[in-house]
Amino acid sequence: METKFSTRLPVPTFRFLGVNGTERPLPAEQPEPEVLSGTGIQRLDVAADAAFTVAGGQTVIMDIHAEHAYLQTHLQANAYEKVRLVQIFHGDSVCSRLTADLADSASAELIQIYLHGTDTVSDTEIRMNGRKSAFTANIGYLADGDAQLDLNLNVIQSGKKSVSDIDVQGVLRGRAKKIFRGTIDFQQGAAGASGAEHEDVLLTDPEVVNKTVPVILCAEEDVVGTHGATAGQLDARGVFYLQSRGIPEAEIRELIAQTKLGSVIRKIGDAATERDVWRLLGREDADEPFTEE
Amino acid sequence: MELLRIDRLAAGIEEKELLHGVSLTVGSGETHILMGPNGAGKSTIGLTLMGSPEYHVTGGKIFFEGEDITEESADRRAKRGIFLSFQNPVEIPGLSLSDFLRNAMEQLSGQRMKLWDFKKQLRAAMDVLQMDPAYADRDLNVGFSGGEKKKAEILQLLMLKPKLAILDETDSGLDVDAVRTVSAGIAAYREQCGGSLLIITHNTKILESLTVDRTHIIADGRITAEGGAELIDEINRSGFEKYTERAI
Amino acid sequence: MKQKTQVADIDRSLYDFRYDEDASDLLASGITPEIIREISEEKGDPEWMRQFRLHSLEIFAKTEMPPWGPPIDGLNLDNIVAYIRPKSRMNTDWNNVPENIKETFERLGIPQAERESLAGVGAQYDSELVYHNVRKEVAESGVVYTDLESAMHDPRFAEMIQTHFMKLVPPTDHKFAALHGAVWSGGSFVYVPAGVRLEIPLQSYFRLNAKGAGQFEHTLIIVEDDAYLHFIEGCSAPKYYEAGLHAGCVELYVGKRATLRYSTIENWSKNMYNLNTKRAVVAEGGRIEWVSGSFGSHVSYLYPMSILNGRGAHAEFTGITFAGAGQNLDTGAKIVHNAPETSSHIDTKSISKSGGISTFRSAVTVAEQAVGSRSSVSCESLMLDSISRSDTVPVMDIRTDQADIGHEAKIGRISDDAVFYLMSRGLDEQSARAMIVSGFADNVSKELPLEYAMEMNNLIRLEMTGSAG
Repeated sequence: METKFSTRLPVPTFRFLGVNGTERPLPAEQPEPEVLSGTGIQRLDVAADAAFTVAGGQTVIMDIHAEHAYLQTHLQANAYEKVRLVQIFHGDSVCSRLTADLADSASAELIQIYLHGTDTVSDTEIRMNGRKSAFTANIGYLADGDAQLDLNLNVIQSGKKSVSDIDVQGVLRGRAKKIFRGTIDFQQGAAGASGAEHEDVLLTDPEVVNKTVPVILCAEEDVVGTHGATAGQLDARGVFYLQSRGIPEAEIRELIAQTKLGSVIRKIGDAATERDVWRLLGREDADEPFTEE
Repeated sequence: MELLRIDRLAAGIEEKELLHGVSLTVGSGETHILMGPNGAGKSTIGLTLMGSPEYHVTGGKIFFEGEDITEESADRRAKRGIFLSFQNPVEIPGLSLSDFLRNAMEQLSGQRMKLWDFKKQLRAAMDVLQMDPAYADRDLNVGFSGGEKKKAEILQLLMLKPKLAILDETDSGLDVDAVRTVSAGIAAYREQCGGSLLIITHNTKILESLTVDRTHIIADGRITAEGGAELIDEINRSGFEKYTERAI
Repeated sequence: MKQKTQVADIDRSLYDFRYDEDASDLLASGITPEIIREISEEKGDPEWMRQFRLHSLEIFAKTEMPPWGPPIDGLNLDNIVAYIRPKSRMNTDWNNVPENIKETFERLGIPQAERESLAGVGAQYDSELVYHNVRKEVAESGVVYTDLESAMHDPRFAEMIQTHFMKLVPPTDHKFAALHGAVWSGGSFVYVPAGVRLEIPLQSYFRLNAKGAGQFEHTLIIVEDDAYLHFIEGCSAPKYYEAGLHAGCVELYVGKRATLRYSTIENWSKNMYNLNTKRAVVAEGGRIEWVSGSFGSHVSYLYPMSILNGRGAHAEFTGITFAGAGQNLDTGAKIVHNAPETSSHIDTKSISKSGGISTFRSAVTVAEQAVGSRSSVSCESLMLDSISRSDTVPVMDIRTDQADIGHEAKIGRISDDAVFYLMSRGLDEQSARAMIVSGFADNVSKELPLEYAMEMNNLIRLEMTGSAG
């Protein structure tokens, strides 16, 4: 039995950067996975060590507020099945491992939101063996205080015409430290595959540490892969523009930080969960969209 | 009654002075036009009046309702009732137009706004501008066309109801229909709150439905001529050339 | 099934030529303190340098191989002869250069290049600079361009060299930097005094010749405040059956408001291990501009590093890597933003073909004090078939909120539409593909002096179609 929880950059790089991997101790005993099946939306409250296997056809929403816990999740989407997983992380010292196997024409949608956790390590491996399998991920994080966030996402595309699309939106404040490693791995034979990944980070305090490692591995000619990452401050012109409409600078910083995650929150597609997340962000009013009447 | 008074204002960007002592007064409810060739300093006046941190005031003062606001931040000026329609509105990804507007309106009034009231007002204003309501949920200015951005500026004007609206080339780059829509928006603003206008423009189409009180010609960072509405026709006929030398 | 152009292994005879080496000068194989002492004595090193070499050797023995990057187990260090003294001594007159060496250079076109108004040529034949000439007017402006060993003995430069030599790349940096420190031999020293702007580039052409020989040349360039220099380094080596090693070291010091452009086309023979270290430190308002083409070698580890230590310093890296059959080229750049308002731009292209592996690897770090800094990285990879491999491994490490950092990477293939379009204008498929690849490389070729851009385009054409021009 494993005693360490470890994440690893699929190809190691310069050691001085300290991004090649992370280790945490594992609990002595790990629970047997609970198999979730059925249809519709399932809401899970994760307050301690847990393991789940999620079959296709479901939407599972996990509210992860555990302390010192290890969460294992496996998504199994067989041919033509769809699976959606929403994970809201706001616990302390949580290690999460997520794996997924996607068969022909199967699709998985992953939404992860990381809020206010103090030490979160999340390792995700998506194996897209199926022809025309599809994976989309919308990941949002707000790390503040002394929070440490360590994310490792590895999307292995071996299926022909498989499609992946990963969008990451984040805010770092206080003395927060974050590593995001995002890998798209096009395997030989994945003809016609495409993959896109983008991370956008807003840094709002001078002591934050932001590490980003956007890796593309490619052993197939007939693929299209793109990667983008930006990190930076509030745009001075944008701040002036909002200020000119009467919003004070402190409020602008708060507003932008909150709304940065808005695009991810809107993807949840479950009004009650979305309201809960907005509340965690300190937005009591948590409005419904303007056009929804 | 005097609303805005600019007194021998000198301002510039980085090391370069672009305005060399501009004086100008706008009274309550008046409509003023500011015209001048490219690079004359028109946009500098707008951005300096709004308090852009990029522009530095090196001399002179700005008074609004008799108070010196030369050193004030942009949000304080907005709270006093100054509004600038940006020539290049900034895109703010992640912040929806409606969330932004509601926040701004609450900041100006200092009190919470009922969602229902806000929606009603926004709907009405969007109707005036023939804007698709879907824009309310879109990120502020992100992916808006040039015309849509200008409409979104006028939408904000209608919602925020300032005492003084500075419109910086709001009509530039718009087709005839869009100019008509924007003009209707400006007319609605005048009608609804009777605010003052300082319109920076090349185009006289936008002025057709307005009564112009005063026209100022700016060249090379100085006001070189002033007059009534008749000055606009003269500029249209013979251009700026004769006004680039003469400083009043 | 798409039709692929069959491309023959390229004919390298244009570059793969060599002359028999007189074995008498080969020192015993393997690297021991005795060899180091021998090298040091042979060179008449000052005492500090002798100590430096021995100390580096100790570090070398203690340091592990890098745990990342392409495998280098084909390299038998004990068999690499660190030092080969050429038949000739320093020459200032082309006529005195020994005939076979001269012929080698002539085939590479160096004297012609000089005739075409180049500022100076320092050509390294094996380990020592054999031909060296700086145009009179360049010398009169106070610019020094000489070999590092002579400079070390020149009282005017001795101290300068002692204070700069391997201070930027210390022997502790990695195993091959330590090896370099122990056995370095030959290389260039350039000094551009404050305010001197050299309008014509200085260039040096390195070659490896002797069988099993390693080349450990050291380049030290100091560009003082407000000065300008363009230095061109070209590398090409004949083919051998034993593994060869190149572990050179380049240290560049760029003064306040000074600019140094450092251009390289590396075309090592395809059994070489190219484990090269290049580094620049840039003072306030200075600029370093790297232009880098990596074509040859069996394995390359090459990541020129720019340390932006002064406010407003700027680094630019423009590179292309072409990995063909049997090649594993791991290239990229490192940028360290250490001061406020520094900026950097990385623009790289890589091409993988016939089983070649190319890896783009980068590190952009922004320190806490580097407020107001900006960096943008753009890397594009082209896969020409599905037996090749192309990896992109960039890292950004940002420790201030007042910075704007962007990265974009793209990977893909030659578009069928583009090939079809060119073919519809009468080009055959092979030429169409070659033309598209040349176009892909234009970020680098447009930064190179014309004759180098032409050489690079010829190399690409060679790789793509098996014949030049």
